[in-house]
Amino acid sequence: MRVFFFILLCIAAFLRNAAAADYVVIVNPNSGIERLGREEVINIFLGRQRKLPSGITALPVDLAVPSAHKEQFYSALVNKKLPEINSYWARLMFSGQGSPPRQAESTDEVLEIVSSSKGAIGYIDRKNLNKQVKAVFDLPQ
Amino acid sequence: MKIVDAKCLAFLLGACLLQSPVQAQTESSAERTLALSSFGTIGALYNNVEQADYVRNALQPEGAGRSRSLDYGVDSLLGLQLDLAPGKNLSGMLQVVSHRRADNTFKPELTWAFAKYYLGDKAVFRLGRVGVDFYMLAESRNVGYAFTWARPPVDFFGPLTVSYFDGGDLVFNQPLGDGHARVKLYGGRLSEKMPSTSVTGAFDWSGAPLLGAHVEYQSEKWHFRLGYAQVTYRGEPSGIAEALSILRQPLAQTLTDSGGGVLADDLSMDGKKARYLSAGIVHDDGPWQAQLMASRILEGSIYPDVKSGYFTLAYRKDLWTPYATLSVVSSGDVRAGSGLPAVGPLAPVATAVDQLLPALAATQATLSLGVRYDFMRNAALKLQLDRVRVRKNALWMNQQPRDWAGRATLFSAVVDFVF
Repeated sequence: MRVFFFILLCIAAFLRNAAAADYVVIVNPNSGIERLGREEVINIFLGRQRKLPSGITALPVDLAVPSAHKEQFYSALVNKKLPEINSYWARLMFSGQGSPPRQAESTDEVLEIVSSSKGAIGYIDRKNLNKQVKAVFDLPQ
Repeated sequence: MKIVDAKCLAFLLGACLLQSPVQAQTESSAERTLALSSFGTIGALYNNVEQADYVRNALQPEGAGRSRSLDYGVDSLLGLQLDLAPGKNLSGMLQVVSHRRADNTFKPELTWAFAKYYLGDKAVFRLGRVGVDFYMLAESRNVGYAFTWARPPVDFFGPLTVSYFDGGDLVFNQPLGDGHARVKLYGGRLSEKMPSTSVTGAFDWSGAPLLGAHVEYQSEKWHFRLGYAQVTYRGEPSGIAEALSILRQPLAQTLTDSGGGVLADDLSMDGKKARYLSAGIVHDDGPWQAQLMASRILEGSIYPDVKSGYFTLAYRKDLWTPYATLSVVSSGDVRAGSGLPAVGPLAPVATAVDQLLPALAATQATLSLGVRYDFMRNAALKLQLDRVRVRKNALWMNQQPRDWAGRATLFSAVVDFVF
């Protein structure tokens, strides 16, 4: 019986990890932002809007390495795969229309940038939230 | 490819490979003020037709078909870009591209060089050498990685032989509903040259004034655009210039009862205006993407007016994106003939003009099927099959016979990358 429960627990743990993580979009507590709409998040991360609704210049922070995090973020936000996002930025970059978000190496770096820069905006797994940043948008799962 | 060009390409490729660490370094610094990046395509194009060359546009003097059935130069290119951002509102960009150009070399060409300044949140101004954005999703048609096809549909983009100008553009951006409305105004002077192998002879666009504007609306899934541009021709194509000087001589005037002068005025390009009207819709919804574009070129000269359009549908499944494109181009009526006496001293001019007129028309349709495979984070492979039905062949090069028409089957394999 114990073995059976152990196996069940293992399966449960596995399923939990396999399920899409719960992502939140975070900003600096002094950004003057309480909540953001989905369209606003899209416009900021796709470089269509330069400023946060509070008027500060937006500094979107992305993850440099193509990770499950990054993949799930864009999939949940715009239903796009990473090659499509890369292709989108190549289109803009090589015609001088803008450059992709700043690339952070890890979630820790995202937290560090967002907590230290007023206009920064990033995304993290909800379980990594801390008091130095503010969650303003929950990604649809 | 000449040895010199191979060296140029090798140099650029070397520079590309060396630059990755530079970019990594600049991206990790807090303020990204300098960034070097690159893009490129290695492409092979096979054409089963032996009577003419298939090219991207009339800026390429040769392609796949009559010159060689398997060609590596139509799509292959390499671009290097330097971005500078010295201030919050000020930035600059330089881009050099090595591709098959009018003089049939791969000499690197300066395609972009501008300073960009943000005027508040809603307007941005660029001054210098900038791209003409005939393609509504990008101002450059050189970056293969950025689009789904092996190359932008030739029926639609082939007649557009300019890709950049020296001047400036101004974009106003206004949030509207869930999306953004944008108005762009641009103007300057062209500086490209068409190769001399085209029927009319070489044409130097240098100094021809360009003016244009477009309005667009972009939401998450929809993108609409209406555009207008005009070019005022400066000078005459080399193939016409000689005929003009003969027709304008007093003797020719006498012989033709001043018909020669009237014909010369009709043939002359100098000072005439070509207008370009375009409309496009892009729908982009998750794995689906559809594009529909239509355009008209009103030549205002001996060149026939052109109508063209294309429709593309693509569906992405994991890393694979199969797509289909239908494109058409159709030229209006060309003048029937020179009206000059076929015998006597003007006979050579009459023959030349009679050959020239029908050769200006482009009417063809293409069905393309292909697949894009994103096999690496920054590289994609594309395989594409095109069936082209040609009625009037002005979009082709080196036609033999001159009035060749028929069907062509093309096969393309390209690898696009960005660094």
